[in-house]
Amino acid sequence: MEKKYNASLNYSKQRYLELLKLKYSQEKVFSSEEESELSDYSSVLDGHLDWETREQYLQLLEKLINGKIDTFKFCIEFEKRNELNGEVFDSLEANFLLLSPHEKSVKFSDFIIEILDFCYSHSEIFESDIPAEKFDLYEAEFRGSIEKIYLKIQKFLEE
Amino acid sequence: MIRDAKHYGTNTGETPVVMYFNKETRQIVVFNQTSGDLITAEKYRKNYFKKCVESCQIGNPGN
Repeated sequence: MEKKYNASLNYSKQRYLELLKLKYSQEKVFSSEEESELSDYSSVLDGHLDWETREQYLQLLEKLINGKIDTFKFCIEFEKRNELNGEVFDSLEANFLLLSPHEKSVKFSDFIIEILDFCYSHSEIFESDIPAEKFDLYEAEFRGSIEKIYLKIQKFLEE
Repeated sequence: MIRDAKHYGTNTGETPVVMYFNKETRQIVVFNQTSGDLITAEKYRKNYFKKCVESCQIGNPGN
């Protein structure tokens, strides 16, 4: 059985639901505190979706590291996986379907954000006319950076 | 909302940008602060959007 969020993170599904319903009913204007509170709850749910789909993310990372896909395909697939989670998130909130987040989901999601940062930075080399030598160097650097994050993820998952 | 920010590209490095964002739609539009050229316009995931807006950075500064 998976460990769920601990109480110290103050995750209350009931409160989250209450805030969401208020937002969608548009009965009142949120204070900045309420807005921030809802944003925090949403972040937790968003991060949990990354955790739930960690196997797909890990498979993509392994394919890149093992040379089965190039960095272009990796970035496309990784961003696509991420966007799909975004669609699920929107659908869950719109239908008031809230999940109980895993205690490792926030940290895991941070790794996903770190990889996305690399992908967004790296994607410009596919649109530019870069000399082959430089392109290869960027490719190697990207793989190296992603491999380092992958190793950090593996260590984190084993903890 | 508008903010001064930094965009990081593997080839272009650090670029000062003007970042327009909409918290409701999670869209970010980024223009080069010097040339005014559009760099990117995207809808992001909740957490990535939050990270960009809070840090005023898009992309990896380590590149």
